[in-house]
Amino acid sequence: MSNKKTHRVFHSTASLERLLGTDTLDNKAPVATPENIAFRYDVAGPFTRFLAWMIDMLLMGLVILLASILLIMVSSTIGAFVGDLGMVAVGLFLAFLFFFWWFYGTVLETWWNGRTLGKWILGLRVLTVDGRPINVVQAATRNLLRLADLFPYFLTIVPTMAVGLVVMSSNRRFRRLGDMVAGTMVIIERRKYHRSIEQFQDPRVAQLAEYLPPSFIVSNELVGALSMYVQRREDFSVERRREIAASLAVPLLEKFGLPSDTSYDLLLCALYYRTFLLNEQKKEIQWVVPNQPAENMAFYSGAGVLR
Amino acid sequence: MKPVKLLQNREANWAELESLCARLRISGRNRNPALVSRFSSLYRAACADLALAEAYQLPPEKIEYLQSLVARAHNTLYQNQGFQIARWFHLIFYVTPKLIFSDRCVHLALFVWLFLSTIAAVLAYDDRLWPGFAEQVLGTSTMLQMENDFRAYVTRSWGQNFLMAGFYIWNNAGIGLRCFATGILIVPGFFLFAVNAVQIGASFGYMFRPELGIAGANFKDFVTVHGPFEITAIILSFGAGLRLGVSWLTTREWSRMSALILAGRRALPIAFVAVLLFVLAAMLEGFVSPFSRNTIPWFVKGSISVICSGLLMFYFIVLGYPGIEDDQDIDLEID
Repeated sequence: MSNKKTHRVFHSTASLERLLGTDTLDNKAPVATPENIAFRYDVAGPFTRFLAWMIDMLLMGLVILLASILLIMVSSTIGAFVGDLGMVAVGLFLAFLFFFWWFYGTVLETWWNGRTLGKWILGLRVLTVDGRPINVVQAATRNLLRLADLFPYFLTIVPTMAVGLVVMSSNRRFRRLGDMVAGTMVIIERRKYHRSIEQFQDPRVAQLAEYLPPSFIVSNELVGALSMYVQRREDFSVERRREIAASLAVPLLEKFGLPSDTSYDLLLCALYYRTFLLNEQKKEIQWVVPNQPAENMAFYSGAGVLR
Repeated sequence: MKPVKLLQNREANWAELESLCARLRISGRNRNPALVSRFSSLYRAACADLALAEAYQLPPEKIEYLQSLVARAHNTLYQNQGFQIARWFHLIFYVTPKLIFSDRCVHLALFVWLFLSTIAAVLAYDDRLWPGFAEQVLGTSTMLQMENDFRAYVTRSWGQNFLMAGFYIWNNAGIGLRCFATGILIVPGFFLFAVNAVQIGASFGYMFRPELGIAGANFKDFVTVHGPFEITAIILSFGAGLRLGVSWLTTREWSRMSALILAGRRALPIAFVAVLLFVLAAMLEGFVSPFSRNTIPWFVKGSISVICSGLLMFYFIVLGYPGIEDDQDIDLEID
């Protein structure tokens, strides 16, 4: 193979997906950073992106409308005295129209780190497939090729977007043709609010936790199910809690050798309590302290770093 | 201590990172270095927190929160560098001519243009070969209007020149970009390109018919100056589009996706140069072409045309030689 570098760049995401799982159901895109941490982005779907595009189109229409009004005012006032100045204004307007119409997305996405106004409003951002910021060439490629994605045109003016939709539905990250060529994807940059760990008022939870066998190791899936249950249990009635908890609690009670009339709800809470709150961790965890002087930590100084 | 307890101690750090995310994003490019370095430390710490949270099986919603925090901080830290003139200069005057020189799709577009427009010109010039060809392609009213316009050759006012220059940018460069963008689907781009080739060929053939006399001479006066840039630009536009269209059909040793990306890196600079040429052509067409031979003598217009063609030759051949091979990846060096 002639070019190892390209080869590596193009296949890094595929290997990452093998490593982290594809998360097709949740529309997640895994990304590995120079800090050697892998995390997942939420990929934006066709509908959100269509809305963002509509907002951009509305904005562009508004700007063009305002510019036209300004143009009419200029050419009807100044143009009344010197007719040629009015025509100069029209010429400038047309040149502006060309650059604005064709390069609105390119310029905004370049200056604003992958965002246009519509994307900003909906919390979207364009990134390369490996999670880095896009450059001018990529922004221009994906914005110019939008024309091909809107193809074919109904009655030559109404875009049916068939090309874009077919291409988007044929890949995991909803990339349209322009994204394919530019090597980009659109992600949702959602702000999530964190909840603190649930605390239990009921003293029986802590008591029951003492009876759970210490040898029992809680699997990843079980952790997920437990915390989802504990966070939502407040919304349910007592009967409903029992019903939901039963499928998990019945086999667990059997396994732990506890009496089968133990409250299912209580058992799951106790397990949660033991997993997250009980003070029994032996291992000392090493934490990165963020208060060191900056010089020691500036180990990455490649292109694309904030200045 | 349980990881949960430790993580709770870190929440102040996360909150600080959150607020710095917002502040650094707003403050744009003139950032406070102290803030940035504080931000980077907090970001790396949050990365470590995320790794630990995942390793120690913390509640999924905690991990999800950290994921989104790290993702946003990552996007705040890694931003693109905007426009840099030196890199653009390198791209336009060093990389792109070499790309054009060896691009078979541009060569093909050139031959298609020459073939179609020559045939159309011959058919429109000599009405016996295909009776009514010019009327079918151009339409009778357009033909009549062209003939009248160029027979009179009314010199425009300077305001009109401005207006028309703006119109030529909007119209011609727009057509060029449409040729480029729809060239990836090959058929629509080719159709637009071919229609333009045939129309321009037919216009030339028709206007140079002997019976049009002075109108033909005026037409020649008008198109001489901006012709080289404009025709070159449309050929480059479609050539670049065709490069994209061909790439996903004949992928060589690459996967279809990689072939598209490689072709995109080669095609976009060509399309960009085409836009620049369209703008230059529009300036010439707006401000030089409209003057009759009484104002700007024929040899001046002819010389400008020769100089423009010479510059294009210099650009394509001297700057372009020896080209960049098709299977060679190019580093655009633009971040």
